[in-house]
Amino acid sequence: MKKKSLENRLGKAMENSIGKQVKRRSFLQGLATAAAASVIPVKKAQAFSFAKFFQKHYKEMDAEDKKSVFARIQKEAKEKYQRDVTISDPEVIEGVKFAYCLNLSTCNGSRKCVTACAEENNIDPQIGSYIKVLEMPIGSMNLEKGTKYYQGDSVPESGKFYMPVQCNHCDAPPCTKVCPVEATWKEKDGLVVVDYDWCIGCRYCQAACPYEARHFNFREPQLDRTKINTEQSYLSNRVRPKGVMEKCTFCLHRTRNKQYPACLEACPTGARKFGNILDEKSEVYQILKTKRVFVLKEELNTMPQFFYYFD
Amino acid sequence: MMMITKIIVSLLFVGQALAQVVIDDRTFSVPNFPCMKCHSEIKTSTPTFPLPKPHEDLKFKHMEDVKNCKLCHDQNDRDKLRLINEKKISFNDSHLLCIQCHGEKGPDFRSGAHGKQVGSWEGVKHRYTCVECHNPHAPKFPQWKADPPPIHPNRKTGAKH
Repeated sequence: MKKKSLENRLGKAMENSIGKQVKRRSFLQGLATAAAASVIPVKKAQAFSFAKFFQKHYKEMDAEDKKSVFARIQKEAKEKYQRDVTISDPEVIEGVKFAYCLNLSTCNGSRKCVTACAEENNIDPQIGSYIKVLEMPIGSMNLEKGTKYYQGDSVPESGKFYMPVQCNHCDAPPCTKVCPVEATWKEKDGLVVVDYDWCIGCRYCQAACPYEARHFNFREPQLDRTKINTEQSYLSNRVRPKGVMEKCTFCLHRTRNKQYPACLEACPTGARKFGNILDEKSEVYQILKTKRVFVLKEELNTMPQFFYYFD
Repeated sequence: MMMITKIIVSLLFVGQALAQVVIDDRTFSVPNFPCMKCHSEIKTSTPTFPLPKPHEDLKFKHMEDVKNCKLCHDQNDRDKLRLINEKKISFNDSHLLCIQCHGEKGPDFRSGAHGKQVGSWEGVKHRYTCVECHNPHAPKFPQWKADPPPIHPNRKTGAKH
């Protein structure tokens, strides 16, 4: 009875709008064709993937889900860049917490880390790199006096020192707190990561980060297909879609396989130090034990895991 | 031959740990090595400047233009370096020679706080010796051209932010 009256009302409403009597059968047929019409163009355009839309959050995926998701990403990369990429998902190593130390006495501002980062992580040229090197006047620790646009014709320039800044992988990260969909979080080994397929691109985290470490993809990444790094991982350096946030992951795909990050390997002066802070024999442990280290914007209580020191 | 072997500087807690620091053989990167190829016959004890070929390009900007080769190089066995206590060491162990004067860098070098290491943070670490970055004859770090800067958002308009 109720159903009938609803149909009558809907029929009335349509009659009013199109000025013609609508029967129940023709009304339902109309609905079906409308639904079909909305599906067809989507399939053609391929702008929208059902598999991606109904994909689970990274943390809720089981091994089976991951397999199909990684296969989809590999297929998409193949279609778009004609490259065979491998998507891996290296696991957290038990008893490991990553930390980074940087020797400001030896950094000479040659931006080798910046370039290596861009190449390793398939970063769109508009974003540039996850690392910015600030040229600062000697005697000042005021970050506002630094510039990242210095030309650097002969570095290090006299009277300047160079301070690379990237994601600090804070222990109390302000960026993960503000995410409305929990698309970014801190892993057990200390890495702050983003699920690019879950991110809605609201950029709250970019506003929350005090270190300008988060970057937004305003466009579809425009990469040189021959230079794409094909060793990719789901949470780090796979090619990001348009409209999502991305950030430094300490080269998760390298470091969880016990390698050093790309920026460290590229540093020509050996200013960069990386390791497991829980391991007494690691460089970072020894530096924190013997050197006077400092972190950026300590007063914000973000507890960065990126330490600077002079020697 | 010795050139192929890697020198294990420290095997920390051999029983448990995988972590080890190795210094790769670098004699092949020393120009004109082995030195005894020529110096088994040429045995000048006091050098004349400018040095004859192939050493004419050497620049001396170390410790107030020190030009006393024998301070580091062994007088008789030119394939070796010599410590102050007259102990002969290989070119691969040159850091032992450096820390005779630059003692404060010794602990930092050993702990990894100073100097470059590549490889694996939990496996084999390949440690660079001092002379791979600092030219022993002119150790001051040179100035270079840096990689290109990031694109300024207002580059086209030229406006200041």
